[in-house]
Amino acid sequence: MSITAKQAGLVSCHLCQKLHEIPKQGLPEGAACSRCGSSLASRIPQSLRKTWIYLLASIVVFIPANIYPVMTVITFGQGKPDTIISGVITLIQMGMYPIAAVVFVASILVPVFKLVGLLILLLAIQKRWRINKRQATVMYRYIHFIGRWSMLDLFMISILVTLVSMGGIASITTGFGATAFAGVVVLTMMAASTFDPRLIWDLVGQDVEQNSEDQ
Amino acid sequence: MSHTLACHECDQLLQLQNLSKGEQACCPRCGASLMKYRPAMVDKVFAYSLAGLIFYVPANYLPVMTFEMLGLASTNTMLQGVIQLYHSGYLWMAFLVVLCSVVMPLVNLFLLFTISVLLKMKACVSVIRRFLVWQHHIEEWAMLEVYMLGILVAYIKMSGMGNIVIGLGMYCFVGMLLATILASIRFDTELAFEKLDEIKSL
Repeated sequence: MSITAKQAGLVSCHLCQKLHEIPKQGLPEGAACSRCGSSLASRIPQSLRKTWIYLLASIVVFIPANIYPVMTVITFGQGKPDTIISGVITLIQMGMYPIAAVVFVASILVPVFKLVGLLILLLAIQKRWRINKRQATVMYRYIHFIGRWSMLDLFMISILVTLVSMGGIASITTGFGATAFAGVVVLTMMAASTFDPRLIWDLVGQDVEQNSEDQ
Repeated sequence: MSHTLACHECDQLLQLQNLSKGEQACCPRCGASLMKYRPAMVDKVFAYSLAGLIFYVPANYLPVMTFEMLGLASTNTMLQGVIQLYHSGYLWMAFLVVLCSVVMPLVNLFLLFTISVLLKMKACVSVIRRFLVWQHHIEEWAMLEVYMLGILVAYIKMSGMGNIVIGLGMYCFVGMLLATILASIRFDTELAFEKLDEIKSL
């Protein structure tokens, strides 16, 4: 009843969506879309391997990003360095609950959700877990969408270092943790964009039982 | 008139009918949004991206906020933060912040503006094609809306320590942000390529 472009011998351009026929001998090396010139491939080449590399790299960088301080607020020569987590705790102690929630979501919840979510998607495809494919696609869509919001902490730091610069009275400096955190944001964004959600659906033809209850 | 396309998230082959006002096409298998009804796309993208470009210069050079404490004041513009990070030795962070909050938003607005102007003039097909590809790749790295949230968090965080005055740069920044969001909502890469095909076949 339903057929994918790949099964129909077609390939859709990832950028402009134009459909092309795949020749009998397969797509030639370096095949390009006739409309926009992007490279043509039925699925992102080496998608799972690339996503694994970016994902593992971001998990490694995630550790120093949370151990080292991201920012130090110094008033009258005194101040203690804050890590991402202690920064959120400080906001809670000061009674700024809404802003604590925003920073917690953007800097802690979103990166963890991205790392765990991509890990689940990769394992589900490679181990052929029986997952609800529609839900898995929705999860991927959210992972892709929320990635950029983790930049919040870095933008905030870049605003604060100049906004509060009064020498000995009050100043704000950044720490190594912020650099590591910037690495996490970029690496997880790369991981999300090298992952091909169509691989989730390629499992349909191979499974005996399909998830059809959500139709 | 209908045309065939494959869902970009699950590769399902689908027949897409022409949409009418307020309609949106979604993939029946995975739920991905395939196409929205976009009347007068080129005109609207032209108007919004031009508005965004006009706001861009003051948003970047006028002070966004001024922080006052014990009679002292320091101001902040979008570029100063990056320069400060650079001088503190945080090159990688400075690079990323300037890329996502200053460079890419400008490139994005410029490409959208040029694409819409050239589509209107029905000229320079190869330039439009190249710009459409570039715009598709860089869009993800323009993060004005995240920067806006960063300004809000910084404002609330510091309001306990001293007095914060909002500068003219902030109003221009909000204007640029709204114009960029409206232009991005109206714009669709696939539809732009279809318009390009129409120009080619003339």
